[in-house]
Amino acid sequence: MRLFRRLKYLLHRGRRERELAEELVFHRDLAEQEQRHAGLPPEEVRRATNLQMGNTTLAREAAHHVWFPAAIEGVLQDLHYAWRGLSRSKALLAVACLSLGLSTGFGTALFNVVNGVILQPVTVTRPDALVRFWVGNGNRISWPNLHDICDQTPSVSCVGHRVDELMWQQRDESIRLFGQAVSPHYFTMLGIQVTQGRVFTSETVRETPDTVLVTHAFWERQLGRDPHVIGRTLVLTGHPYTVIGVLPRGFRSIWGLGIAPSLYLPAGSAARPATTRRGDAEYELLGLLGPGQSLAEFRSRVTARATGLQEAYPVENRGFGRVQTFPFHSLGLFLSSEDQVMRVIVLFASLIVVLVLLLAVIACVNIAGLLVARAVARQREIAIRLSIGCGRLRLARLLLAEGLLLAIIGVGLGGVASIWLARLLVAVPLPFPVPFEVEVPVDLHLFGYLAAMVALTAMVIGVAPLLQAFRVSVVRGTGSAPRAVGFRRWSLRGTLITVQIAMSTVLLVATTLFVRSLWGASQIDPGFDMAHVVTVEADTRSPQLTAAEVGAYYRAAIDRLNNVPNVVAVSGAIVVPLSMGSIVNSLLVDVGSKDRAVTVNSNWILPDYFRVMGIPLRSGREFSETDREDRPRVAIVNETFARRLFAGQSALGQRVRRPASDGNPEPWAEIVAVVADSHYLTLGEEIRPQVYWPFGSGVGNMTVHVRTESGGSGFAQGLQDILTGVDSRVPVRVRPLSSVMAVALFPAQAAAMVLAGLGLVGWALTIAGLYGLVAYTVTRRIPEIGVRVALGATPSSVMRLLLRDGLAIAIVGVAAGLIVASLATPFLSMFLAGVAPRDVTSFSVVAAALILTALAASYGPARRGMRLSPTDALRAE
Amino acid sequence: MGANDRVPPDLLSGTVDLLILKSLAGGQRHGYAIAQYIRASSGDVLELGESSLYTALQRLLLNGWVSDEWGASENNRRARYYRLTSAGRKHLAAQTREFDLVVTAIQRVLRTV
Repeated sequence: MRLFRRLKYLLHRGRRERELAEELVFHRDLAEQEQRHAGLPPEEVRRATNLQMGNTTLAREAAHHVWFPAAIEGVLQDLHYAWRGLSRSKALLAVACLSLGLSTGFGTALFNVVNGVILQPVTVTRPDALVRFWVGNGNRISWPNLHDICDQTPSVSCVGHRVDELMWQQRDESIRLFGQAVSPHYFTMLGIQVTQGRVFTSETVRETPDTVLVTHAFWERQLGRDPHVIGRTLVLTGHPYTVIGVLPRGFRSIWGLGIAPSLYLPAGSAARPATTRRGDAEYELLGLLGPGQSLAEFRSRVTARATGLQEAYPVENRGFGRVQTFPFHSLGLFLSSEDQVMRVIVLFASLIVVLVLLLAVIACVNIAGLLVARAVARQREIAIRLSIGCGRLRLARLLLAEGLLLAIIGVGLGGVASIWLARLLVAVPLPFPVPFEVEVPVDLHLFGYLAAMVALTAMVIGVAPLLQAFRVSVVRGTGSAPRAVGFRRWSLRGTLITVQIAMSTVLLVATTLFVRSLWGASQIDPGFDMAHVVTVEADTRSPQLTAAEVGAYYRAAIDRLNNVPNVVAVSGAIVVPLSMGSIVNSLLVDVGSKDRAVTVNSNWILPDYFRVMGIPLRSGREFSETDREDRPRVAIVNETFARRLFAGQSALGQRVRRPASDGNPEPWAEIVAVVADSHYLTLGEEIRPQVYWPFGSGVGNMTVHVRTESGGSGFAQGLQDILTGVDSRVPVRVRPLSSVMAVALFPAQAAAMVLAGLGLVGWALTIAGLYGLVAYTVTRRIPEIGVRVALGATPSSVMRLLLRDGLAIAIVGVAAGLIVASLATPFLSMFLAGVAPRDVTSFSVVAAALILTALAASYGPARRGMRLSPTDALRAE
Repeated sequence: MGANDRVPPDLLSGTVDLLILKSLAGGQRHGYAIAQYIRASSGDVLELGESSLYTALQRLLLNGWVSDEWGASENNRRARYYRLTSAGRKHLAAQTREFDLVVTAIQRVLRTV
């Protein structure tokens, strides 16, 4: 309330002061009147009143300070004075605002987005109690096993989940969506709430299985914020589903990283019918430890149940006695997996922080440099102030006020820019259909951070000119000493520029090394060629199609595609790598005396697959059409497989087989080829052994892969039309492979973009700062130029002199900077992957750029100086 | 009683505020009337200077204990009238109690032999 009244006072300050003055006059008049009535002579009246009343001006000031304490007013006065000074040097103000605005703006936006995308826990009531686990040899189990383990084991809560691609059919088009098929009690177990409608539970699913929950982003972007969404019917893969709930805004799926499926549907509903075959491993498992339950207890209960299932179904559930648990990270599944993603992200995030701080330091150094240059130029003014009695403390306050003012303006601009930048980043349309929401919190944290930045910046940029000012001697300063001092005499100005160039060199070298190293790390080769491959996703799950029709459809489609000009080869596979789909299971390898089990990534492919994908064959041959007939059985493995299992010997001719299913032992398959390694689930993963099987002659849903001579979006449309011609009942989507993999590629691409941005800002800041400083100091030499020209120097000789001075300083500065950098960067080597700490290219590019900047900055003002007539130049000061 | 006997009432901090609030307890007054009231009711002992009177009034405004309003004075001049707010009334009561307590205590100390 007091603050509010204070602000109101400030708003009406003029009126309030007039009122007080009027009131005082009124008071005085009445007092005088009273004295007169008391019979005092007129000349005595005023004196007596004054005696009684005291000093009116003091009264007014005291009253004013009630509202506006003197300390605050002093600071405001300093700021006002600082503003007057700064507003006269527009260039300084501009460079300062730009440097600080860019560095804080970019840094803050980055913090915001990193915070929004990565550092938010998944929406689950007890993330710490979650546990991922495998039963048997693979990461997935079948529907009947899921039911037996999660629904019928006392004191064990767990759910199954899998990501499904669904075709959402609207009037005239089909949209491909990611849905997550989950156990009916998924939401009740995880404690996830909805904002509209209700969640599905085991009970509701028993009555009405075909229900679906949509995310807020899906409701907003694809259902047009439909207010009557509850009860609306969505046709998914040919089956009508009823929307029963909308998940809240800011909901984070268990995947983390802000990635969420568009919708959730109960496993076992129409679009994802429950298979009763125990061998069909489909669902991944997520358990929830009960209150007070230990992980060991959970595991032993699951193991007991699974062992029972192994005894009941010894063939399908081979190896069920083995239960593995893995920690669940509260930031989501992507960061929980055993691969290196987590480490990469942590390292990446901390390096980003370092880079952002580097940018802030560059900005501060820029401004400090300019302020010191200005303080040098103002020696006379400062000396005069000192000599007429301005206290050093007061002077310090004035100079610090300049720093503070610049910091407030710059960081304020940066804050505004960051909000705008973060909104811009979030609004960038993402190349994949996964809804992706980033909230930009404009909250106290942000303001706290900005305030801290202001304080830090003000201190850093205020202290340098302060030290400089304290060295000013009153006697020398009031003379004309600072005028016409050339660079060559190693004046303070020259030293200042040298130091700034040296610091810029060090900072820029560090920034460049970081950016290059992270850039390299973000450009991981997936192991196959994405540029020339187009995928065809046909959805043949519609109930209208018979199995024979589906088989015929694929044969016809592949035939037609093979005849399209520009198509090099056509193949197909069940799993598209890096597209969130994965099949991990166990494999038995014939190693002499007894079979050895290994966990492998699996894929089923058509002939020509490796040619289409551009995965090099190391030895052996591709599958042929005859391999699809199942006899003799064949398989292809990757190099990691060959190296781990048949170290030293050739993998060709070795035998592997799948664990038995449906009661019959699988026949052995002979390895007919070894192919190069490629990534399967994420770019950051460690490569696992992988096995490729020939896609059987039977029916199946697969993704057709087409290798083209040159990709092109018009080409994709052409393929789309051809395939619609094959069978108009089958919805088809044709996309470049890179867009199918967008989810997996996104972190790397985003990282590369962010880094490029940071690097660019760093360079721009350094160059702008250095240019500003050099140009400023050369401008100060204009009187000297005038003297030289007046004494008969030719323009070209003066120009040569100035450029030579500039060059000498730049070279000394850069040399000093390079020496410091080469001493410092080895300490960074633990953060630098793939780039030598004394990387010659980085060093020389930075050196060249800075020297050129210094020269260019000398040239501009020097030319201006020479165009002035000598008399004007001499008067300039 | 001569002018030298008149003392500014800032012996105890907060006393000026208390006196002003008390002077307004009977209804609204302008600044001069407040000063007169305090002088008269203290038997010409307490005299408020402009500076302390108007500073105190601004402080009371800032704290929301009094409100102000412009009106016509007895001799038809524009004058600013101050009036107690309900918060001011509560503050006055509390301060009066506290002041009594302190004064009694001080007297007790002074009279102790």
